[in-house]
Amino acid sequence: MPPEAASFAGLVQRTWRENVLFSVLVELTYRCNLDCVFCYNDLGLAGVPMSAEEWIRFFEDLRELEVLNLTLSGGEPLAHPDFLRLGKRARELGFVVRVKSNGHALSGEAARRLKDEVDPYMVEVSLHGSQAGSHDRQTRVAGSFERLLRNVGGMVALGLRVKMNATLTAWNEGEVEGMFAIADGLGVRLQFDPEVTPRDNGDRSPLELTASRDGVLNLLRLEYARFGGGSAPEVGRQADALMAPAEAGKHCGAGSSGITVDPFGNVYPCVQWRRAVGNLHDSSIREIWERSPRLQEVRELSAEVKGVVGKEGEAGPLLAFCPGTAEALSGSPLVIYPGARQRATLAREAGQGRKAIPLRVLPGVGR
Amino acid sequence: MIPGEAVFRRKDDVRFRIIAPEAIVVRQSGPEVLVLNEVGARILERIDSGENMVTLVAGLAEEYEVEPKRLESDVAAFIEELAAGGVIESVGAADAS
Repeated sequence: MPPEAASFAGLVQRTWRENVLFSVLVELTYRCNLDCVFCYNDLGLAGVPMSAEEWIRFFEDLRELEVLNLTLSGGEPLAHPDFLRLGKRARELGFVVRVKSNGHALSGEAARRLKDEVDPYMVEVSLHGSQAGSHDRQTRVAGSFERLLRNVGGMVALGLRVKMNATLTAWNEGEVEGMFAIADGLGVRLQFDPEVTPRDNGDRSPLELTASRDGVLNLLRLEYARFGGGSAPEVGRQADALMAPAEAGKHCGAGSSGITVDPFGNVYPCVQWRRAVGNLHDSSIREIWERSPRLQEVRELSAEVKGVVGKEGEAGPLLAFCPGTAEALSGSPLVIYPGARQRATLAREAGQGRKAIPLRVLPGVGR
Repeated sequence: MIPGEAVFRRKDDVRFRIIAPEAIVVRQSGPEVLVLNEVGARILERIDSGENMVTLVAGLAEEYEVEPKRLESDVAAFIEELAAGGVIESVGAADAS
């Protein structure tokens, strides 16, 4: 009976199959100190904000449910007046805490307090370009580029594990190599999402910034070159390095191993799939997780999505299909949208002469 | 050889969750994720509850049908592995540091 390590992939499969809540992303606030042109948050969303006490009670409920990953997001999570208190409580409860921030406020003392009081497993920040012109154009805050680089350098020096996320857009698609060079220079990982998505209120205006076909192809070629065929380029709306694709009868872990909560307590299957399945002001997370008919419907849909993607054959994994994006674009999570088809085509083209590497959309906790 | 009165504890930077019957262990300071099978999970749970080696092995002997000598040596080897991997530390060693 040696207690040797079991399979991680097997465990992840089980969380999907058996609906084990494993990863939670909370949008603490939609306040932000930047004004990104393609921000997906629904800034007009109304409701009763979760109080700090309610967030803490929720975290304690998650602890009872044996949730492992807790991502503090926003808006800009540091703009929440109780961010450090909430982060500290999350740490005390033993979560693997990630902070998704734009990085703008994480200078000097703020970064040191983040390290000392929250001690996150990872801080994820957003890079919008390889130079101030493009970065600041997207954030609409002058000086944000220089400040981000300075802050990332400071965080790395403090011993914080930092990762950069970037969305490929028409404005930065010519700067991808430079962006990788910046990340390499800072000693941090950079993950791209080649897809601009509609806002959570359905507004499609961000799609005007969608990168060109050549821009996506160039990104995929660079990723193939950088990864050397050894590991799959990840589609970076997702940020959870602890998750892996799994054969579990479902397309992804949305609503099966992960959830997202907005500042007003609305619970969604995933940050991308904005179909509310309950509200924490009305029900506990355990009640929602175990008894929400809408959540059950999402789980059944995820199994259907798996069938739809499976019919695509070898192209299926290259689609990096997201049912949440599909629902936002077409009203149905089962309709494969043009962006996914284009990505599969370009992934094959980028990988010509090499074994096709499936793009991965990892489940549950980021965008 | 681990003394019977030895007590270990999970290091501060280690996160641990049971996904019954297995468990997942994450070290904040490293990218590795360790997945323990049912027996490994029970051992770490018992370490978390502050049991010394004698109590821990005796408790496991009640849960699993294993020859006692084999159980003791397997547990000791596993604990040494966890300690070497930075997952746990001896309470005495931690207090001395």
